[in-house]
Amino acid sequence: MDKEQSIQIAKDWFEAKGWKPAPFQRKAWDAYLKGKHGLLNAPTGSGKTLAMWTPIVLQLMREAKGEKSIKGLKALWITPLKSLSNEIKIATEHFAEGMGMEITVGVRNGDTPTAERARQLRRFPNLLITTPESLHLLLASKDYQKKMKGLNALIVDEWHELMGTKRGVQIELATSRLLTVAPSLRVWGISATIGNLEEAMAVLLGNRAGVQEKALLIRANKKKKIKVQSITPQKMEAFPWRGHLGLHQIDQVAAIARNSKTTLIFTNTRSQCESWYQAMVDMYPEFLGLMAMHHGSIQKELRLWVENAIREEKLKLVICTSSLDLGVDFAPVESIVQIGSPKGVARFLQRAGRSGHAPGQTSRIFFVPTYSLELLEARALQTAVERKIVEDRVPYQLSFDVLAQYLVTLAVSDGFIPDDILEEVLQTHAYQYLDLNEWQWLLNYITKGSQSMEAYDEFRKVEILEDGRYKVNSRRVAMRHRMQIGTIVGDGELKVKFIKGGYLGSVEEWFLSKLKPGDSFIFAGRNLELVRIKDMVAQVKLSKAKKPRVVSWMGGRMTLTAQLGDLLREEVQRLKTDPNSCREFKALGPFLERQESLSVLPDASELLIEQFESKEGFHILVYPFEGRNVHEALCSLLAFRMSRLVSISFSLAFNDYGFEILSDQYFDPEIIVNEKLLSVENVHTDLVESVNAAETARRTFRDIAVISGLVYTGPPDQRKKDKHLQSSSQMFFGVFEEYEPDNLLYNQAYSEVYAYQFQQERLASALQRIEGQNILIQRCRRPSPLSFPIITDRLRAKLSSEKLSDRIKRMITAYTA
Amino acid sequence: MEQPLSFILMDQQMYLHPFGALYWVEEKVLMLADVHIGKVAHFRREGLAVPAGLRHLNIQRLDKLVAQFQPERIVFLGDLFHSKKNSEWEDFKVWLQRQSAECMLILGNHDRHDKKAIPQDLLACYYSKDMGPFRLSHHPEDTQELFNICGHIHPGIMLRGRGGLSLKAACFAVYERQMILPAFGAFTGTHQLGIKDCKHLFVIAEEELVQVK
Repeated sequence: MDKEQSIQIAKDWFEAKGWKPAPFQRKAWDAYLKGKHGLLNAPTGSGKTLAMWTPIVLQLMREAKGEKSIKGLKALWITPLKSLSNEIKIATEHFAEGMGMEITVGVRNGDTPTAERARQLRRFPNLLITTPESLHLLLASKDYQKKMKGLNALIVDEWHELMGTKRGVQIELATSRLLTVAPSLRVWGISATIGNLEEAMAVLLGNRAGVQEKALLIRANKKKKIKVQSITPQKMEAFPWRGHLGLHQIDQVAAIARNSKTTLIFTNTRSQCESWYQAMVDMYPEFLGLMAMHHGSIQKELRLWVENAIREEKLKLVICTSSLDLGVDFAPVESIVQIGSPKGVARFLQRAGRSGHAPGQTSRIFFVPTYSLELLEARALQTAVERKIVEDRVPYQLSFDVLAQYLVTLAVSDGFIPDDILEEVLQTHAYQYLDLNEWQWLLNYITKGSQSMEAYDEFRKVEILEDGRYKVNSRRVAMRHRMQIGTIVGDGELKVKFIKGGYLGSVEEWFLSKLKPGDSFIFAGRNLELVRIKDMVAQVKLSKAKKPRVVSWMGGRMTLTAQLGDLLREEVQRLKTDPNSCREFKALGPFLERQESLSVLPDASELLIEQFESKEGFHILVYPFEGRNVHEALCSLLAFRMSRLVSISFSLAFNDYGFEILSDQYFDPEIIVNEKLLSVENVHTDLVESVNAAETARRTFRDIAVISGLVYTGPPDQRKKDKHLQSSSQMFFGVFEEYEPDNLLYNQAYSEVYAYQFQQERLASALQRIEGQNILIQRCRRPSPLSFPIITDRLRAKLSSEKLSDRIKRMITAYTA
Repeated sequence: MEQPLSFILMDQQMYLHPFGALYWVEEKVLMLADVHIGKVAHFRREGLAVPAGLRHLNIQRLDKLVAQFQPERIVFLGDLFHSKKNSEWEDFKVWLQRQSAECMLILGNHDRHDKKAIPQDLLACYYSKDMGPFRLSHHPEDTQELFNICGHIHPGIMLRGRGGLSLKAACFAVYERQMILPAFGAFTGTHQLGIKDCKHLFVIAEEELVQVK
């Protein structure tokens, strides 16, 4: 059977179903069967699974030479979310059956029972659907090379979600290994639209000779109409000044839900999700039984039930978080509601795309601003959709923590020869600039735990065997390593269960630690009372308390992307010059009026600095409208430059619009202008020092310490057994700072802060823009509406140029005063 | 250079030292809690790369203290040893042999993991010890007659100031009938205490001590 014949078989199957393969599907089949690698740019619900799975099956049919089945692992399908695995399994099995092939499909991830996993290791299914973490766990299993050498395909689904995270780096490393292990491997990514698709393909495939040359980027080019509408409040005065739940607009949201078949309401946090659900239950009992909630901490079975119920049109309304961003189609969904800023165009479009799936239908998304300033974002998002702006995903570079983990992973399974692996690692995008000293450092780190040999040292992790292989021999080390494979570092989570049995989901330890038995809280849509915490399980019963707390999760706060930041500044300018030009601006009327009376609204040529005093201390606020991360960097930089002039301590706060420097000492804002404290000159050196002073790197180090295996965080039951090995990343950070400042992992914390958190390039261009602006200093009697969301933020960074003992002494004065 | 801080406790002259040690002048007794000897080597043996150089830090600090105060007695208030015997214990044994002062250990929960390996010839072991007006123990004890000096807790506090400023530090906590010493060990964490309940509180600020209360 040749290529054309086999394609005809697939076409016949499609036709029998009344379908016609889309051009992008045909292109993908053709390219795969020609042995190419590549990236498929196709949105969810476009038939992307069959675009890749069809040629894999056709290829297997050719290999089977008339037999109905074939032995061994042939394809790996990587998905970022465990919850998507089943969908893919159903779709792939269905097609294989249609081709008359008995192809076995297995799912392997954190939820797979141990017995099933052991069975898979004895006899692999032909297709294994798995996550980046479970793929690395496979690389940590004995004889993985033998078992994987017959692989034809590695498919990385939702690659846009993985790239730009350390999970993406894990995929790059696995790809580099598998290309060696399996000579006939084809590597394909599937990605939604992002700004840098070409780069995304290059990152996935790496720089191995012959791979890029054989690669193809295929675009589905599906144009989709998207209609964006923002919901402005009926009573303008009632609109809050700072971010909130957005519940004051619940009536309008309920009306939207009433008028569409199914509505998905996206919230940005799980606690917001819980609050909205509760409010809907209280205010709109008509939706009872037709409404559900979906977020990452809810029990898996319940989430699956919700997903199925959406498909079967049983639900009118689902309140969810990013947990429903990805995944298969929900055909009945007609409307999407986004509560609060989505912070990025790509995310907004992704969510919009969850509705209106029937051909020719328009995706409808309603944006509900939760406070005044988000009305500006509403405008900016509409412009972004009109101009088809999408963001880039920035891939991680030189993540030593992930590489250290990977090397131990290989040492746990069959062991590795450093020179062989080095060659592969250098071919990845992430480690193309790795130098030999760094490589040797990492080898020393995993074998000696340091860079110099100490007398009587008992360090034991990876050992060097006589044949030159690097291998883990200690069973305890191997077991602990397997339990810690992965790059997602979460806070400790506790399971929530009813005393009488019944699992509800999991909640972060720190939230529960604030509760006493008898306190009540809302979780998974129920009002619960905490009875006790026992063996890492929070036991609860139903409660009737009037004011339960809403579970909150720490989670990262998202930053406005550069693209959205640019658009936002355009909108501020338009608001200034043409305040009646649109519905959103009119709604901002009272806000604008108050801002102008207490301070001013800056135009594009101005940078506004506000100063005022409160019982908290002396506040300085600056508004560059550049996005949260850039503001964090600018804020540290400015505070650091100020602290060089006088001995002073600051607390810092920032949001997407501006930042605040707060101190217990007065600092004249004129000095910022006179001493050119916002100059782009020496920005790098000053930033390095400010990061030191502001302890930003300390936070970033937490993940690095866990990923690189410095800190051991096993599952809860293991942690108890290994109590003697408990330590914290903070303890490590402290000792590295003092005793091993050249430690590569410690230094990685700093480089990550500059590159990914502070986005150094964006920072430099922001400073250049500011240099061309007029600085307006406003001394205010009271906080302006612009400042309000920033000054009320309790999550603050600190920066100080005072001696520790002086700081303490002054705090004591404040404390005793 | 570290600055000790003078403090009168039960009419006795005490010095608090920024390393986390307490020196009793009248009786020439040096007290330390929660040294956790062997912790660094223990971690390293299990493949967790605590900087190897850190293992010498405890001994270096002990030497400094002995040179500065020249005590006649050194009392370790428990959790002197972290886990099972390892090479760090050997270093510590050599240190004990060098001491002219009498060394004693009030056994703590950690010291029980390998009690047989404790060099009792160089280090007299007790479950608790009464000295003058003081009851020395590892766990905090409630005694009617004596003032309790203990360890175990690894006390630390979070200080908050005006302008949203805050910081965390290890401390000496003094109550009506009790004083809790900070952990002396180089690779140990702290447990946060409430400031309100303390009578006096001394915070370790690098090379100095600051009285907060």
